[in-house]
Amino acid sequence: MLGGLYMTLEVSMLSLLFATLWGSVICALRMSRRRWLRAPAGIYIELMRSLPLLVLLLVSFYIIFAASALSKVQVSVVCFSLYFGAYYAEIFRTGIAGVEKGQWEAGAALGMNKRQVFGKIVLPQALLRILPVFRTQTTSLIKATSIVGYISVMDITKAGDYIRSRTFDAFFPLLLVAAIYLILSWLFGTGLDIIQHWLTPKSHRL
Amino acid sequence: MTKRILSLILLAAGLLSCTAPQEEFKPPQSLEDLKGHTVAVTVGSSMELFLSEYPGIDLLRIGLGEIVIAVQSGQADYAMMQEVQFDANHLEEKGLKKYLSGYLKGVSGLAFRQDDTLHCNLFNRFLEEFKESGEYDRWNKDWIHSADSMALAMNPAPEEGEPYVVGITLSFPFVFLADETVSGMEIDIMNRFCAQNGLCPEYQVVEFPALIPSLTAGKIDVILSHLQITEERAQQVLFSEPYYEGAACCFGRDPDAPAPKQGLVQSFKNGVKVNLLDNDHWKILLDGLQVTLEISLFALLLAVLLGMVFCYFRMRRSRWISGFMKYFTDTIRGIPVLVILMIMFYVVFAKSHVTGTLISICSFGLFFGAGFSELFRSGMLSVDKGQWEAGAALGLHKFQVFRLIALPQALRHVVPVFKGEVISLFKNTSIVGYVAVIDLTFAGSIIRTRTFDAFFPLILVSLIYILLSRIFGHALDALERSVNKTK
Repeated sequence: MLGGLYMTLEVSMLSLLFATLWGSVICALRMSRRRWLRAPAGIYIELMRSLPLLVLLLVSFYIIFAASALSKVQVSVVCFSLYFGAYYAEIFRTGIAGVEKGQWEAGAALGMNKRQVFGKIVLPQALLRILPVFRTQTTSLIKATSIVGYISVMDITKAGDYIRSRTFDAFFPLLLVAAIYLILSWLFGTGLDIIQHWLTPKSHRL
Repeated sequence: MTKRILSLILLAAGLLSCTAPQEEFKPPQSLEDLKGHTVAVTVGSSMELFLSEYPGIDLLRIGLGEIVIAVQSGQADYAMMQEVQFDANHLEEKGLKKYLSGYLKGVSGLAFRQDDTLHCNLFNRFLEEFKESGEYDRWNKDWIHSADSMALAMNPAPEEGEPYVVGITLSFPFVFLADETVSGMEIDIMNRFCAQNGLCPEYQVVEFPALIPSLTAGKIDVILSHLQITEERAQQVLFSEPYYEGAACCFGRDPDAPAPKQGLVQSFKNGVKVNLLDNDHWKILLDGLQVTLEISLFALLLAVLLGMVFCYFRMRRSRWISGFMKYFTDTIRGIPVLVILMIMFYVVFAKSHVTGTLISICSFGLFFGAGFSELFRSGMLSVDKGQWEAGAALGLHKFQVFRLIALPQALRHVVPVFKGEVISLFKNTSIVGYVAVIDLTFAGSIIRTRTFDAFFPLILVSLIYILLSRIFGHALDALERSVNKTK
């Protein structure tokens, strides 16, 4: 059970990390001024968003990475990163696009170059819009890892299944697993809430 | 910047394409030789228990349909399955070779609930007569030694009698679907038993690891899945006298097998034939699609309804009610749908004879209802308070303000997120296979257990999901436009 919890945490944390990075890359491509960069990113996002995660996981495991030396845990992480990266990219994009155009212009008027405007003016404002949605999506990611059992990764759900198949007690393992997910989502949610509180300028705090 | 991104992508692609080094192949002589290799086994099977006691073997615990694919694709080096299955499926023609055989010799019986001595005794008496009459030997010989199990004559299932729910797992030649009816070696014997005792069998496909929990939870009346009689299992269920004796074999890739030399078009044609046309597989897929759509649609309706009810209570001024609703929705949203689904199936609706489809609809309705409740609430909160006051000042009463002023504005906030949630609901239904519902994904896996073809069913199922998601997306875009029209 503890091993299962560890596995769930490992897959979640690594996927969260890589999905965020990958999401930023896709978001940068998606918002690029060059059409040939923008279009593939758009198609990629559409594709990921219209495919069930389970099907993507099976396709990755048995077809795409079948010949590669990646272990099943690595395949899961890659698969979750690819999938949630697409979602994160859209979240980042709407967050950044939500910042008024005037802010960019004001920054330029102050003599900053583009990167400075983005880092010092747009990003802090965008982050505030991004974080609440990011929090929901991250909770989804943690919960979505419950399907890795399909490719024989012993996560917490699968560990519960395993105990169930040995003790044949349906009730207790299931409720325990549910409680653990609840605590995990709550922990991650609270963590992100703290980050958000910390990022909000004092004047805006309620 | 662009260059840096491109080089990153190239680097990632390079990392992914490096393949496992080729070693010189030595065929295993005993189970000891499996050490250090990956061996695929069915989840919950006696093979899994057996091998898990051998240290150094990396077990890949997956479904039956995936075992062969795992070996073929190289995710597993070897796999274990019943010898009869290997032979009847003609797996040696698929580039596989039996290396070890005769392991785990054991007998299998029907499994009943502990207190169901009535049916157990009935079956034992039936089996005794069956054996005495000599029919048993013929049955055994016919099925085990037949080169083409599909062609064997079956005893049809009796159409009248006391309903009797039989839990099965699909594994050729024991149980398989042919022309939309369940048939196979085990079904043959079950049909005879039922016909003699005035029972009307209702076959329900269950995932192997879910068999015993389903039986003890009262979802099924008996397990017919060549369940090997073990002491551990006998503490949970009541076994009948054994009706089948078998052994497991271990197989791997055959290094001498000729590489398939098929053109792309030819292999595609072959894929269509084997995976869709043979044995009416397309009908299974179509039925699965229908179930997926059914669950998605009704769950969506239920979720919207529940979402509105939850949202109403969540926005009540009473702190007790709204506080309780907050914790309630947060709790539901904090648990994976899969776990909710299993709790509904094994705990909440355990003793009732509610179908898996209905349970799925309830679970998805509840889970997404909780999400919708928060969505609707944020939509309502986004409407400025002044709008309500302005409405009141115009002499409208509360409901009129809500309908005429607040709702149209709230909808504009709600619909874009709603669209994403609907598609996510649709895609999420792919997990209902866990509670014995044959949806699109599970239908694909049923076809895989027969054809052992990894590529075709998976890609086809993906394409159907993508297509349908796009269609839903477009329909919801139209909704979004109509909501925004007043803007």
